Amino acid sequence: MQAYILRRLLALIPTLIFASIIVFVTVRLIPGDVIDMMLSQNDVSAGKMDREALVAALGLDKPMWLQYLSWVGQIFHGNLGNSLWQSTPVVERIAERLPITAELGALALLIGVIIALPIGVYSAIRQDTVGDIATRSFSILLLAIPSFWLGTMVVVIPSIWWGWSPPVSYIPFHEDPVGNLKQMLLPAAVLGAALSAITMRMTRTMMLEVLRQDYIRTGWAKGLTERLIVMRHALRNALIPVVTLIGLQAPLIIGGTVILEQIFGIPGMGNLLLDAVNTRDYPIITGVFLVVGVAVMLINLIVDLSYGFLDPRVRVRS
Amino acid sequence: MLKTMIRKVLATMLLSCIAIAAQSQSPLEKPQYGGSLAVGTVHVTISALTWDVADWNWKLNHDLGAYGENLFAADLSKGRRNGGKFAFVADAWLPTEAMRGELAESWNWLENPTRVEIKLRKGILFPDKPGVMVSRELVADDIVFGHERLAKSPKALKGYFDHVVKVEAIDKHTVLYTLKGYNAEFEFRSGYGHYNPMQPKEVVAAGASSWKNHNGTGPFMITDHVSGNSTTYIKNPIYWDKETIAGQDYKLPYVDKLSYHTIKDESAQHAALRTGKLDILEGIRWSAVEELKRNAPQLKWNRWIATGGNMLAMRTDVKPFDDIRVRRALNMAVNKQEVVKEFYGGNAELFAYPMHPDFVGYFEPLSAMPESVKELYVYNPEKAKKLLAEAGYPNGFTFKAQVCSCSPNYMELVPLIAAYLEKVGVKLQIQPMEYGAFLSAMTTKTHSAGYYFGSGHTNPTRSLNKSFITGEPWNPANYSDPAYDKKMADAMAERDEGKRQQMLKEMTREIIDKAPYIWMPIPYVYTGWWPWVKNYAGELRAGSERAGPVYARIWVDQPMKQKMGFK
Repeated sequence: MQAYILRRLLALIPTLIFASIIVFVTVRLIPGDVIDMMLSQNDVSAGKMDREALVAALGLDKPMWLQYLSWVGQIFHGNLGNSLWQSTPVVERIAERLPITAELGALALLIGVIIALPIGVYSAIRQDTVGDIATRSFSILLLAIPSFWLGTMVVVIPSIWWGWSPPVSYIPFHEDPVGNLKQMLLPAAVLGAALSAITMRMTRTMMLEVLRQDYIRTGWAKGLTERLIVMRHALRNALIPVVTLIGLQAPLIIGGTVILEQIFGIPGMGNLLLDAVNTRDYPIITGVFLVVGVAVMLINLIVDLSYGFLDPRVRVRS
Repeated sequence: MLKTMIRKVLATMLLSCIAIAAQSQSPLEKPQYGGSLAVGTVHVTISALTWDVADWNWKLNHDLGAYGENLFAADLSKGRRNGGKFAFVADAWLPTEAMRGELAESWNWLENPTRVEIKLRKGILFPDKPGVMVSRELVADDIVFGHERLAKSPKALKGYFDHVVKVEAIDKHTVLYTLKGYNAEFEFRSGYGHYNPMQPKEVVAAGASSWKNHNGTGPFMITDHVSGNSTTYIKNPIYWDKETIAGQDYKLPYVDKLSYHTIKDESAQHAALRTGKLDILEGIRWSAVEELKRNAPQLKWNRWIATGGNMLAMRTDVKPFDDIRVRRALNMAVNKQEVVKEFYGGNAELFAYPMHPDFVGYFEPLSAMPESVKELYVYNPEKAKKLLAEAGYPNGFTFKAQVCSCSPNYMELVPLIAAYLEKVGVKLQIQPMEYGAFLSAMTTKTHSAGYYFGSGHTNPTRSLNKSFITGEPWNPANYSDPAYDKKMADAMAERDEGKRQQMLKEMTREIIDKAPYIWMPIPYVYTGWWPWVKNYAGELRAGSERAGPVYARIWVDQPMKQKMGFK
């Protein structure tokens, strides 16, 4: 198992290098560079000399490959460079924001799973009943509603009807855990709702498939209770593709946070990335993508490793 | 009968007076100390972009301005809340009449050579900042240090301090600026501009790029900043300034805590105001106001004309826009009155750019303009066609216009302009662009023949300088006229403000007449606040993008707030 994990971790390196080159290069090639942004922010004329001085001051006068190598070299020292606008270390900026997005994402995932699994299982074992039709319709509804719309409604409607809106100041978890959870619950629920729909449908489909297997029929023949058949024999086998799907949802969560963080004023990575893209703050953009890339890869690794826990056959084979 | 009428008229007048008095903040009300003030400023969507003044960022005075003082600031006692004529909404302009020394106690212009001698207030103290600096007095060396650091920064704007020969500390409280000659923007560039918050050397030594090291002499002290969310300041207990109300002095600031909030989503901004999470929301689009008035009828309002023009630039260096007849024709082809009435629902001014109506002494209304200017604001497709034919385009032409997809307003306006232009045979190909790419196209002068953009008024000289002078980045019409450039230089060197006002008025008439842009109406913007916010009438700035002194003078009627059901 350890060798397997090591192999998988080593396999991440070329992927990361490839991804980092793509992000590093493309962000510098998109129209509108940081120098233009800086020069246009002021009302006073900026001539060629200003441009050259600024390019040199920001270290952008070197060839791109040299900039990349220098950046990679810094990574080994735990340094992702400095923000071009604020001159503050990117690591610090990401360290401030990463836990917030991670918390939002984890809560969304948790809420998604809590909604999806019981309903998916119920829908499968009560196939084609009113309950099944109702839950399936509900899942389609959740899939159809865009998160940004739901998020906006969740903010606007209570403010009109009940004079309530989410807090405008971020409450850090270490300062007030309850206040923090109260603040994060709503955006996490909105994000989790969309995720739950997909997971719910996948759970139902897989459960239906497993419930038709011979060993389930044997279980019924042996007189096992429905609860035992569903929870021990069916669900565990049905979960593997579901867990894969949850792993694949990690990038979706990060994408979703970009919008929801804006609506709910959550100072997470999504907000940071959006601001960095708007101001062409290259080190922040590449830093965020690197961290997100590593996170997505690690989540998928964990998902792969969880197969062994869920299915003894995988353990035996590996 | 007559008596009854007179009585009714008098009663109506009396009631009106009472209503007006109730509407405006009564300066006789006794100030209250304590409480907190949560604000969504005019830049509610943008978190602090940088903290180090040497970064030369336009937003510095906004975020540092609550604690980093300037040499000059607005004399807010001359604002409308006190019955004065100044609204203090301009983004970077202080009228001479309403400017006062902040760190400066007085300043004098001297000649041969041209110099400005600034006497600093004595006894202004920086508070203790553990690990950064101990409390000490602000001295002339601080001003010199601040100037030199700005001027020597690799990010410095070329030309910004070209008029300054040297800055020296004559004694502990006297600073002397030696200039090459008079510069009409001296007070703006060195005194209350975007880059002027005082940053002492101790803060620089500790690391000015981190807000945690910041300290200033202003009414507040920064205590927290969550990028993308909020910046929090608390009262500076040793702040030097006071306010006199009804003959009694009150030490400033009144509130214990001030917070600026970053809320990117417009609906969330409105929800925060509606529910009292924000005490003040400074920039509300006209389209949201009716709904807010309906759902939160107690809110108080100030309406102001946006401090930026929006227009379609026509590149005067390429055909067909090198011909003034074409540019004037396109102005006449757009029904601007209809845009005001139908698009903005009456919430816009037909004429408020390049001079802002609040530029008292510099602004002239459309009615005072020559006929050749007035006709650019009257829908006249027939004359437009005639002018196009005279210019050699009887069948019109096609051109491309870039617009930023970041602005919903512009994205709706440009197709409207295209529809008007089509009626005179001119086809407009619209190219929406992402913000960075859009801005870069203008800065590098690689933009298309048409370019729909917004440009801040800034102040009377900047407004003309930035958009009509050769080579300026915010001149997407690429307008270039050496004679006009010289007039600008002359105006900048003119010491007599009366004469300068006249020169700028003439230049304004001339540039509107030359029509390098399709001049579009300027919308109203609204500031909304709760009635417990006192001593306030919607003032937005007391310097360039700087509202700190405004908030220092606001007190919160806490019993009223509680009575209204808010914490």
